[in-house]
Amino acid sequence: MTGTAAPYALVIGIECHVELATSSKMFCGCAARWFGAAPNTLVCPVCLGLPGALPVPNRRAIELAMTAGLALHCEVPAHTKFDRKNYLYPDLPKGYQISQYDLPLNTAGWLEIAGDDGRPKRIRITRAHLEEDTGSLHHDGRGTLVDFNRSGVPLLEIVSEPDISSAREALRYLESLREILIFAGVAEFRLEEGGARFDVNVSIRFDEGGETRWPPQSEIKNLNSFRALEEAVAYESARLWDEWHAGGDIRTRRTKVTVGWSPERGRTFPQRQKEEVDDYRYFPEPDLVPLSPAPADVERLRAALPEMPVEQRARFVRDHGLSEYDARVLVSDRALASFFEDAVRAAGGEPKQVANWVTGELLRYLKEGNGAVSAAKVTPAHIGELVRIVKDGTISNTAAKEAFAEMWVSGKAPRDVVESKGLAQVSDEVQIRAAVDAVVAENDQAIATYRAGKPQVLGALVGKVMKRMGGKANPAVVTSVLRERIG
Amino acid sequence: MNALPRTGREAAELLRARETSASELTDLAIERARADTHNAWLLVSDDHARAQARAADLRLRAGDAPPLCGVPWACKDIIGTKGIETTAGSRILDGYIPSYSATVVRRLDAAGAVMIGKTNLDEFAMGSSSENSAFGPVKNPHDATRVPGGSSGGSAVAVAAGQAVFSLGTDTGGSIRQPAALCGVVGVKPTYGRVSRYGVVAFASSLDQVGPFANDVETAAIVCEALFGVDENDATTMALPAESLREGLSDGVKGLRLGVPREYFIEGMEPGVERAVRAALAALEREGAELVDVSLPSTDHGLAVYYIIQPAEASANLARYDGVRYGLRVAGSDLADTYRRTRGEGFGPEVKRRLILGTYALSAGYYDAYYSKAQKVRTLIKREFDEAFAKVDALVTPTSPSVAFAIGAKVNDPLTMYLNDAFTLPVNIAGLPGISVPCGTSDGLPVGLQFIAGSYREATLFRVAAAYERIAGPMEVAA
Ligand SMILES: [Zn+2]
Repeated sequence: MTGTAAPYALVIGIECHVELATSSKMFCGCAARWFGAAPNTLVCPVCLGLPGALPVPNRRAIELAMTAGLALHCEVPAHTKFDRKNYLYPDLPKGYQISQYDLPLNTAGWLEIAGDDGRPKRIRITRAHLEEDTGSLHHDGRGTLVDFNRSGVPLLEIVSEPDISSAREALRYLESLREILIFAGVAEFRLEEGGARFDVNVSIRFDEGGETRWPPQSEIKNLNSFRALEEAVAYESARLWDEWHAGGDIRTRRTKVTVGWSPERGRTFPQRQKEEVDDYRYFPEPDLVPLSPAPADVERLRAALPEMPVEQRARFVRDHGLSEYDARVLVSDRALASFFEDAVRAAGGEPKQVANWVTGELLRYLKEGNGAVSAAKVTPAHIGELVRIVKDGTISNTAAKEAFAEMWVSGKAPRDVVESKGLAQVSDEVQIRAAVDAVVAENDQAIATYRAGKPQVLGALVGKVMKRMGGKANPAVVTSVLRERIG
Repeated sequence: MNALPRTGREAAELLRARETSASELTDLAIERARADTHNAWLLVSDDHARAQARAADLRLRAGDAPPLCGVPWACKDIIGTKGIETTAGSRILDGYIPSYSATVVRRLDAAGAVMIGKTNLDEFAMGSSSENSAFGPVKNPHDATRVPGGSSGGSAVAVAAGQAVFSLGTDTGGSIRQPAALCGVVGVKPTYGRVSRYGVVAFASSLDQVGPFANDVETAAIVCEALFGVDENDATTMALPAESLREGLSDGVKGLRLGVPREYFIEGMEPGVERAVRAALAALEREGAELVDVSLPSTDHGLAVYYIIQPAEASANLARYDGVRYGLRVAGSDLADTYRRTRGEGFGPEVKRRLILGTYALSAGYYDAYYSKAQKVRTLIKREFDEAFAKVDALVTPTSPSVAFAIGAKVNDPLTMYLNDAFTLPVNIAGLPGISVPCGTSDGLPVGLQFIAGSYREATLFRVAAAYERIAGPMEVAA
């Protein structure tokens, strides 16, 4: 619980249906990118469920589903298969959905979130299985129309254990899940395009008269945004509590209720059970052969799996000495994180300096130009070189920023920019001494103050020398010459 | 020319000798099909057939046409044909015109064969007599008061009555072999996974297989060569190297071990059938085959296993006929009512019986006792066949315990009707290849002899069947 403590504990489990990032559908060659397409233009006999059509499994979808499982620390079973889930509904063209029942592709995984107490908390994942999406219904004045573009799009259904204890934890769980699936290249998770949907099981647990009460849960169906999830959980848990105290049917009921969420009214509503199906009459899909994932394939997928964000962040802090903040900023984007690591290699170390450039100038310019890291003209090798020439004193930090601005536009290498713009620092003591002499001659008062025991004046004097030299002098040399001259 | 050639070989020879043309054969087949009095045809697709025939004639003239080029054939109306109505014998698909052709049809198209039309059948292939068609029963050409067997009755009759040189049927529990036996023709059920099911209206997906009817074994082998092979649209087809099914046809049975399963000679088999089959066994032995007594103890359970798995799969396969997208729609007061009325009026009684049976077998609380147990026994039946094939090259059995029975005799007695398939359905349960060849007559009606081989051993099957065919001599073309 956060904020004001509720009089009950929340127990939450989430089923997340997420579309896999395949180019074609689960069991046919139709394009899987259905969002925005004209109705019934991405269809064929298979995804329309025409008589005689047969499913052919999309290998890429199976690989992505396994990759997701590996990223979520799941076990890969020796045998897995598809099953038919039978129910009648106009958006389901075959009268059954091809899904997975008792032998899912992934079992027993977990992911870690920050719990409400601030400590890391593992949310167990019961299973993650593959299935095909249904079509969608559209109601208009003439009646109900069915669009089968979405029919057969591969979905991964990720089922958590009821380990989540608040709406905030639920959000952190989904954010983490989203981040992992995007990082693993498994899904795009575009909520605004219907790329993921959630069913949430909520129950309340509390003590009453010395006894623990844990009445049956509500299943909130088909939530399609994080905000809807947060609001629906809050509403429904409060409603369960009120129903208990009003002596409602929750006191005697043994089974869960299924509800929908109305974002307009901000409340849940009882859902008509889809044709009263408690019994989907699952049985093995005879049109598909069972799968036995080869250990070599599993290892190949595991090896191809990128480092997950939570692990990468930890490594950036541990090995590169970055702040938590910088690590989080870099890891928020897979391309940015690898840009950073490439730049560190190019710089030959100096991760903090590199991080400053990447999270500072690079991100600022990217944001202004609304561009992607991959499209930037500045490369990791450039940043590496820039860090090196600042370190070896070739240019000042200020000049480096000027150089960056030019690199951003032209894509030239730092050394070329330094040369063409004359940004190199002057470390030549003869030149510097002349400038120092001139400044000393013009600033009797400041020098007197310095000599009177106010060393802080030195900074202002260094600044004057720098200005006189057009900002190109090496400040370290200027400081030491100045000290020697007036000290 | 006033009769179609009996076999694929005769047709090919006549066509290559320019004694006839594909167009002439096609016109003759269309004429014969139109004159049919057995209700074997649901649709004769003249224009399509004549166009195919003209194309075949061009290929024949060019000189490198495949063996089936220009040969007229008949298609069971459960196999989808692009642009040509496909009803599965059901009112619920009345008027349904597929947007694509089944892979088997495309393969025969590519082979230059000429499809004459679509043949009658038991609704959704559910039946053993072709009486369950929504479009009336099919009659046996040997005796029009009797059934032709089923479910592929129309396809069996088309070949038996000389209306097509070959035809395609589907066999889920005997639906090719049993009507072949009752009509006196050759019928083949290939190994599960040999022939694509893509585009074939699904009945029981783990049992269905497409195969040919023909007047001789060689024609059936030629058709199988055209049909066999992996299909990227059917995940259950097997990729195997192409093989000739004709090379061994004249090798004979000398030295082969033929198993005779004692469980296939049951009480209740008609004495005339048993006599004909025993005589065939003796003849095979005289030709040099070694007859081996084998036992398949779980045969008895085959019927029970079949009548759980088959309706269970059908209950899901037929769920799509809901009146929403194609076929019959009977509007009701709401969605559920529309479903009820559409399916209530669209399906016939045998289909409903099986859908109820299958839905029940899959229901929560019954799944383990029925479906799950049936799958276990299925494994047992497969294993017994495997053990038998470790000892013998093929099995020989009667195809059906009876000859063609009177129309209406068993229609109200499903259990007796189901027994017709007792010798054929174990082959589907085990996914094996089987063939029925004519084996004399009993009271003037054809008897069928079934050979069964191990998985993907069709070459052996055809070799043994061809040897027996030479012993038995050709069956007369029925009137
Ligand atoms: Zn499709």
